[in-house]
Amino acid sequence: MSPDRGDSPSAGPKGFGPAHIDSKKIVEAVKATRDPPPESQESIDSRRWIVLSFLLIVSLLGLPLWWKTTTVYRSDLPYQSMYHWDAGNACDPVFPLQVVLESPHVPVDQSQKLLNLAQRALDELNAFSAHHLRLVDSTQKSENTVLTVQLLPTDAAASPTAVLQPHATSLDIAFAPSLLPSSSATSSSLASFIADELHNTFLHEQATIAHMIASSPGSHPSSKPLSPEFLALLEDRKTRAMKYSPTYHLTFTLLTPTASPANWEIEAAVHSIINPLVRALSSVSTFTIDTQVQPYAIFSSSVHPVHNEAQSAWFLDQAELGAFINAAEWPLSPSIGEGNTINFLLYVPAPEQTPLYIVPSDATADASSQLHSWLLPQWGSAYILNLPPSALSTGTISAKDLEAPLLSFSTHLLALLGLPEEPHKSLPLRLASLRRTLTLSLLHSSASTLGALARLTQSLPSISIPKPAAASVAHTLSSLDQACAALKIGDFKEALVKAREADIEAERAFFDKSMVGQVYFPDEHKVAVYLPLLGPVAVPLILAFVKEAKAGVACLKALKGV
Amino acid sequence: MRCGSGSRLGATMLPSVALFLTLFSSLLGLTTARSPYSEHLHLQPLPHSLLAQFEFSSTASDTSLEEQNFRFFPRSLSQILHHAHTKELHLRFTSGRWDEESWGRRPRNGAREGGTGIEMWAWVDGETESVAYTRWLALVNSLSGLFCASLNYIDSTRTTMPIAAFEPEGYSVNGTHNLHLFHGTLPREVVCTENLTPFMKMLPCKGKAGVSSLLDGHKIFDAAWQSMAIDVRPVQLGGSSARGLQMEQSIDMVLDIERSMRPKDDPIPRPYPQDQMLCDKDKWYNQYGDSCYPVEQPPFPDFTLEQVFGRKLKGTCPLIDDANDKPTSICVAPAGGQTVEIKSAGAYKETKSSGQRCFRMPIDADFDVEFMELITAADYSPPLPKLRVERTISGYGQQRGGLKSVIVNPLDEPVDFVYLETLPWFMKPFIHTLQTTVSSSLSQGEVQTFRAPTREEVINDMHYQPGIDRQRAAHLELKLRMPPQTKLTLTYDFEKSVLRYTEYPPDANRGFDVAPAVIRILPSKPDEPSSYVRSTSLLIYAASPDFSMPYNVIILTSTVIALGFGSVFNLLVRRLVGAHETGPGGGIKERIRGRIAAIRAKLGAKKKTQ
Repeated sequence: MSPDRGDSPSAGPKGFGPAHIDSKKIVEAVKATRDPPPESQESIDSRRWIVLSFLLIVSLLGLPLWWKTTTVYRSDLPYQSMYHWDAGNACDPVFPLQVVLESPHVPVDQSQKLLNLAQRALDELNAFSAHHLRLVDSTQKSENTVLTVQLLPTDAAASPTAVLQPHATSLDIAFAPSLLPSSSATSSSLASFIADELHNTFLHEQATIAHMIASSPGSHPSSKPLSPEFLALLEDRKTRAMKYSPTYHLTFTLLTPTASPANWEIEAAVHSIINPLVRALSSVSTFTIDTQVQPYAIFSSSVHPVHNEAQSAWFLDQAELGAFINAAEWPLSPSIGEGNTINFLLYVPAPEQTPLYIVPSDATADASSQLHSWLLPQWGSAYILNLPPSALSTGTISAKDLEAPLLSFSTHLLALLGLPEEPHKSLPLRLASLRRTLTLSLLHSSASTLGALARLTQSLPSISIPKPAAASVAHTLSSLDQACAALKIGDFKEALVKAREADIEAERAFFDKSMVGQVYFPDEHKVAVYLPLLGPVAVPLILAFVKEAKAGVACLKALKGV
Repeated sequence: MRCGSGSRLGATMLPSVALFLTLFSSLLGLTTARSPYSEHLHLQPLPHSLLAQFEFSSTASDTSLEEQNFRFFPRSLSQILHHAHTKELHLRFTSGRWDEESWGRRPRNGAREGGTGIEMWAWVDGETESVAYTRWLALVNSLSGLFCASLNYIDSTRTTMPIAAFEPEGYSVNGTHNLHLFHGTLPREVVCTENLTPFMKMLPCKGKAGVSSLLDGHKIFDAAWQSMAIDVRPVQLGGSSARGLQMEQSIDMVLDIERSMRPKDDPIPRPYPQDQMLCDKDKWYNQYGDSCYPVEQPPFPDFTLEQVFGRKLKGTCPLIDDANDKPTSICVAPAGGQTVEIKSAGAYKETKSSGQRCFRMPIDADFDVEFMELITAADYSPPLPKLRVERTISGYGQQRGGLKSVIVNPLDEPVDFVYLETLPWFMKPFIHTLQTTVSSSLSQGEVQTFRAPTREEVINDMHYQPGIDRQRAAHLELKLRMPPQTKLTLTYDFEKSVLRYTEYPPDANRGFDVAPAVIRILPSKPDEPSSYVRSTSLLIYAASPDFSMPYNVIILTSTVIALGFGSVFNLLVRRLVGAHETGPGGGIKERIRGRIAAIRAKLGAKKKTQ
């Protein structure tokens, strides 16, 4: 190692002297230090190899192995398509509505002509390409048909009239046969009338969808600005509506601050009022109904009704309605099982506080139009039922007295489900419209959940991505694609099913339990825990390397010097 | 009256025994009277305390439950039972200990009480046991949310399927259901006000009227003993075809009167003022008036319900069905010779029967009962319990231990009973060490004729299912028979296993609770219902580790590995030369040695000069 120290002045055991052996000298001679014998090149080389191979094994095999075995599991996520969906570039939702023109009493060529003319008129009216009406003749009627137009030639009608069937997806148009276009006509008043009617029927839905698409990311600005009233209406509907669920539990609760009335003929009332509505709504969701009676249930103590001497009635301020529900004492827990619970509260005030009304928003309203009910956004609806003392004495609320509250509840139920107000006349059309808007909003929400998940996992490198979450993401993406494809062919039922699946899976991926726990174990902790191993191993390794490197450099210099 | 023994015993036995029997028969009577809702309060003074038994019962027909139209039957509970396919449910929240020596026989023959903490058992419908078990888990999880209790901790290691210890109470249709009984306990759970609030929410009068208006969490959970029970069972309604569910909610408690009557703003106990002290007049030094040899306060002091419960009893709950054949809503059974006064502004009805006075309280008017002081109650002796049980842990150390149950039969007739023990999986009993010793508790003279029965004569039947680590609790059921006036000692050894790091509960050094043993005393006649006795829960101490263990393990192993690595690496890399061949100047060691030698040389020189 140090070959230059050969001539050091150390006292070697030179004096094996003459006869007398000085023992002291021998001890000194043994104790005296000497340079180590020169090392062979072979051992120097092998030491260098040892140090190098240790260093290589530790750094190339040990460290990566340690890092790999202690790192959190992160499955691969399809970030590309997740961002693609989030940005709204993966799918342009289109709503081709198929409308069947049924004309059994009109010759085929004339009806075909009418169809073509009406289609042309419709296309001219329509400014929004994503949502458009497609007229087909009755031979092409399928499951995807949104509306059937019944052409009924009558001699009596002077000008054509249109009637929307309240319980079927059908628009009846009565017209004089003379209005039918001839084979050479380029325009027809009947065709434009049909086009106008159809356009107006779907105008509200079209505006809603246009607004939803415009407010989603990655969309092109809407060609037609919407009126502020309409925007307020949409916003209002959005805040009131519950989150969509395939099952809803409707809970009707009779609340009264005293012991009476503790009985109500709710079975009969529900049977006649709520059941038909629920049957009509069954295509969107399933509903379960339960009822309960809760005597001795007093509203929150923070609510103080005011007595009005002039009207001899009690009044609740509108601002206090939010605090009316006594969540701590009233047993209004959600029903068990999947699905959301919608609460309908019927409150019968105490006899000394009857009648109890809500202060109307405009003071001019007279006593006859007293407010009884209000809607609790995304939760339910409440109704104050003021009963005359005669009705109270029996302790039972008759089915007749329950009619008004239940009608109010059914209107509120539709609002809570987010059912659009237009077209007002036809419930099936409103439901179909709800289905389409729901599909769109579910598509948007699951796409934005995917985007949020992608951003979250990329911004937190120490968060784990378990396999189930990755599987859910894959499922979401395939469901989204299928929903988008179903929309393109106008199969809105399938689209809703797939969009719902996508939404559920996206939520499942985002809220995966095992993802959250790992956030609190960052890499610094890992290093800190293993420091007792890494430190003592690293120190001799590095020191040996430094020493060898120094010696090597010195050796090279010496060689050059020579 | 289905309880045939009532008339035979009623006349001769102590009034309170008769009272228990009448109470029990009225409990049974409910199976024929079908009012949708009824409530009842039974009061009985015990020495220095008051036993209050609240009972609320509501019924709903199967049709109304299927249509989900609920009146007095709670909607939340019914939906949970339906969801979990549970046909019969028994849920108990208990705290404190029933003092058999001074209070005597347990109320309702122990049928409405549980072991310390939470105990529940249910009959769950399911084609197979695993299906039923999944539903049982759903049931405990839902009830956990409903009652704000840790019921969700009842998992497979705390669930057993007893064979003989429980019998369904309700009406059962044979063959239509495949019912499985599950039993779970949480002896560590502290029962408190948050469990009472959901209990009160289920009552139609919600504590605003009726006997429930007396219920106050501060008093109930301050009681010397209390047991809150919910029992749901299928019943037949009127005719043979209509069926329904009956829910019984009950709260039994023993309030320490003196403790309960402390003022709210000054709850600290203080000595009596001089003029209120009771002094022993026989002591000669009492004549001077400034000294006192205190005697015990009278066992039955003067008190009113409002003083003890801290709340007013607000009359009858108007929702009770008037057609009910049990028109009384409050019954008072004063101790022998004690007088009772009623204070109420409203009109009430009274019915007297043997040893007790029952009242129909007014609606919308307060009702209060004053119990007058009774000093001369020296002859008071509580009715003898059917069995007394005491269970303790023996042995020492953290690995082995023994369990010892002492069961005393104080009555003059032999007793057949089932002894159910559920042990946590980390307690491994050795059944071959199970020993029974029977000794007579008779007086010396009679003991001569006593012949101790053998183990085979005592243990008629045994069912033992060993526990599986982390999966199943050990479950021991014994069918025993004890001769009259004897004491049975049941012992066996067990071993404690070491738990994994994450399996220790918070505050592991407190120990682990072992659920109380359940004793079902089999009726001597087929008509009678069984009665129950429970032992206290046990606290066993298991070896608990230092909880910084994982970090220490990592550090220790890391150090060992680093040591090994370092020495091997040094051996490979260092060049070994003779000690004298290290060259001049050496390393740090040489330099330090040189310094020390120099200092020594100097010191040595100084010494020599001196």
